Amino acid sequence: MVIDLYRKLPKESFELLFRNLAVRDHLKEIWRVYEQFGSISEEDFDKIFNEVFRFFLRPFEIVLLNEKAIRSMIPLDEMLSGKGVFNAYAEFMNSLFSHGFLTLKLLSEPLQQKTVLDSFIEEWREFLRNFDSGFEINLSEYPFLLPGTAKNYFLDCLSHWSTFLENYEKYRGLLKEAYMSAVKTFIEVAEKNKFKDFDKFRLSFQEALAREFDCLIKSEEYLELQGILLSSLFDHIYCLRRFLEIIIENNPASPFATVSQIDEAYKRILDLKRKVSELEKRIEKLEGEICSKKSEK
Amino acid sequence: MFEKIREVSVKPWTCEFEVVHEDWLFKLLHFKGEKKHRVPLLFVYAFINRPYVLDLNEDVSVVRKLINEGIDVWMIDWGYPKRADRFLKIEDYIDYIDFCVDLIRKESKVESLTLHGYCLGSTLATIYTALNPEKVKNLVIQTPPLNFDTENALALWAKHIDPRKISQAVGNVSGEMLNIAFLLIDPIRLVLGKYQGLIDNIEDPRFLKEFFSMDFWIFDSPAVAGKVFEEYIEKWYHKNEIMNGNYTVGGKLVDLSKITMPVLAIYAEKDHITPPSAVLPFLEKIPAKEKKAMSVDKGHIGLTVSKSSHAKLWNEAIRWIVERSD
Repeated sequence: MVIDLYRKLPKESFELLFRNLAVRDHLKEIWRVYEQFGSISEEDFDKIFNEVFRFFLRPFEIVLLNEKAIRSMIPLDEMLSGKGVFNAYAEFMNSLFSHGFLTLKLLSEPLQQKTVLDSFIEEWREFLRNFDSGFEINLSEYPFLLPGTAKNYFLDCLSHWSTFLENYEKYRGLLKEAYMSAVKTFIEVAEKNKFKDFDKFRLSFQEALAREFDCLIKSEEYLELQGILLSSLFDHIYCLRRFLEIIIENNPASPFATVSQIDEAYKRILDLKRKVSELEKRIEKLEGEICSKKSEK
Repeated sequence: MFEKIREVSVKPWTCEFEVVHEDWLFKLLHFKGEKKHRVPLLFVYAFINRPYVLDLNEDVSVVRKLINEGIDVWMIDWGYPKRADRFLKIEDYIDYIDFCVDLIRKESKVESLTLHGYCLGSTLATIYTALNPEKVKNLVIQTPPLNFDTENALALWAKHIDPRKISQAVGNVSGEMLNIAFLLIDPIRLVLGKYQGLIDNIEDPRFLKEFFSMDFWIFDSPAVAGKVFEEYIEKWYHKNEIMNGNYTVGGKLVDLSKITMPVLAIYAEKDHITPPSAVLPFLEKIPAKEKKAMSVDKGHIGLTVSKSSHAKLWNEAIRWIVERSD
């Protein structure tokens, strides 16, 4: 039933409806205590903050999540320090696999005849074993493995990431601070007015929040912080992408075109399209002029 | 609880149209109807959101109202830009308007037509008109951002971002990014107030139909091509070049003093995206002798889709257009 609704509605509508249902439940809970004891606690509003602002923080959270996946592609310090553990685990898994495989083979051999396919697979494995070099790449020397054009993108990518994380925390803090200030104002109004009706109670809360956020989003502090946050985020994304692209572009065996290379092709196609369109216009104009000269004669 | 929402059926467009021309991304639509007036009207829609808000349902369709008055209605649909379109420029949009205007002039055997811009489409229509005044008989601008030096949150935000960093990183500015930005400029009313209102009316089928017609439209957001976004933010918001008289398209100066034809500006008093201050200074600046401003006490979208706007403002606006269409 709810899945049907998720399928049917725009994802934003669906999320906002469900978050608002949760907000309504939290508010009703606060209302019940207020109605009974005439008091409200600031902490009770924390859940509402999370429901409302989670929607806006989601894009940043997605980037944070993506970052985890991307970091796994790059041998950073924590991976290097954990190398011994990884190796021990890999050896354990290999021996476990071999044990299982041999046991299974032993048990199944009397019952099973080896087919031509089994023989082929066995020979194939033997063939591949010839290519085990036995050499190990020393990952602790990773800085020297990077292509020259990639290294600075890598360093910038990490530096923008630090700036982003620092300002993301500040941004969340600023939103929370404004929210709590509105909550305090609302509590004062509610304690003074002694609301008898839930709808009036809710609308008063919404109005207090709206007034606070109208000021916040136009404040110099917010504008500056939002600017830094977005700049560091997009700089980080760009540098990370270029870093990964350069690694691919520098691998002569890579069969993949990078986004930047494809973008360049799109740009050239569009430039050509504009030139063709310009030529068509000129031809049309010339044809018109020729026709009018002919008719004059 | 959700049964009634599941039953809601939302279908965009109520008027019949034919796609007369397609140019990769852009389309020219021609609406079917009985033509009673000589001068056709071309809608230049914005490159943000989709044009069917002008024909959202039969009760509040600006397109239908025009057709019923015997106006020959055409419309440009800018489509959904993809990665391949990230290098489109404002110049390409102006060129396509010119192509459509010439095609319609030829089809309708007229020298000039009525150009009707919607939101950022008004900006495009105004730029086009300043460059080709001889092809525009009347200019109608609806919720038009023309003076970008305003104090609303959207304008302040635009002045504090670097669009090149965004387009460089992600190519186009996606619809999802735009959706979040447009909600965040008024987070409490648009995220809390609006959906709390939905919960209050969740059993009312009529309310639900109207609510979700709007929500489907609001979140049906095409991306903005990267280069267009750069130009829009830098040249329009950061430098206010159109009003300052130094904006160029394809090397040609956009000279507002060329706008001498009749101009109708339709705006909303409570518009938080294009406030009255985004249009009134423009009206003062242009030399057109016949210029009229009509407004309603609504917001950016309410102007187009509210029943009260249709009962009053739109009847008056369409009368203005009809009187200048022969």
